[in-house]
Amino acid sequence: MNTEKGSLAWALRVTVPVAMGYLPLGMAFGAYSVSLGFAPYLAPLTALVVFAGSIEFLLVGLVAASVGLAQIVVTTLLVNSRHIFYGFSYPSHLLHSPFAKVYGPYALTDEAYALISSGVHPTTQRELLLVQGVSHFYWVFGAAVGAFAGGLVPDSFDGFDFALTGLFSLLFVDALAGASRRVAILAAAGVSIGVGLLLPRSLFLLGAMLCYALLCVLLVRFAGSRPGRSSGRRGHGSATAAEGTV
Amino acid sequence: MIPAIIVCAAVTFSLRFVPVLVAHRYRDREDLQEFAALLPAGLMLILVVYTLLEADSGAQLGRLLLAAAVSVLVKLGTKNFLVGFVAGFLVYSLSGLLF
Repeated sequence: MNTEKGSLAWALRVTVPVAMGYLPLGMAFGAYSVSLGFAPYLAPLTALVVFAGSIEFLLVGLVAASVGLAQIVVTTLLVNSRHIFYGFSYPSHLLHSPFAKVYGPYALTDEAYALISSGVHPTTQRELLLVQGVSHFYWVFGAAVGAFAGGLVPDSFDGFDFALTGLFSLLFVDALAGASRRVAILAAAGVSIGVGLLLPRSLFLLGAMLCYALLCVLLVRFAGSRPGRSSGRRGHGSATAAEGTV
Repeated sequence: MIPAIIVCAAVTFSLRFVPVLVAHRYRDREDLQEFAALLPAGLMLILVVYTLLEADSGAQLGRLLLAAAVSVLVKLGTKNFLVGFVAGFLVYSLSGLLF
């Protein structure tokens, strides 16, 4: 088999870690979406169009709870705000065709970012797009399998309810392990969760996240780390924390 | 559902696309890098609590907490995200047979 850099076989090989995450989680997403009452085709469609993992779980939950589009906009902004910082080290100089210039950033998920910036280091447009495209395929395929086969799972089986809790718990541990100010993070998150719990249930997520973002701004502005500390290392920690995020 | 998908995709795409366009302008801003480093862990913990609030009963909440704990411990032990996830999934599903 031709595994020369830039071939499909090469892309399939280097994206194995992504496949290990995207296929089961994509299936969990498909089954979860169907369990909320959505038509099976909507899960792979969401996976194809949004391609952002955890927000997709939240999205189908929010739509099932009939929240407004404004709350979907704000939730998406907050949950995916971390993506803002991936663009800074994304090798956009490799992209030349108009399609590539749009699709590259479009498919810049946490895993794609982690793979591109730490493991694979693509040197051509073809290599970069292959890695991202193959990852995109895993996610859509997983969602389709979960949605169409998940409907065969009996109603009494509620195992997929764990998918979200498990995903976020593991991502939390990953993110905390990669962060440098853990006590501050835990304190700010604890306060934000407390504030969120005081609000009506439907505003918990929004209230707690806005509160946390605000506290982070205050932490940076008034309790920032000493100038001598390397920001490069923190940047790296953030990239490591993103590994495993969908 | 379709309007929600489009809105969600548009916001997500903007968040990924705009920074690529302005990358060189802000890449050296230390305060932004620091802010970015603080966000993920706290947001994930808030999301964990959000999913726990969705539990229908005390028994389900207990199963979620147990499975999440097992999942995290197995992940820390094996250093493998997927193994941790599957372990938690199994604990959650099997505990459903007991409670």
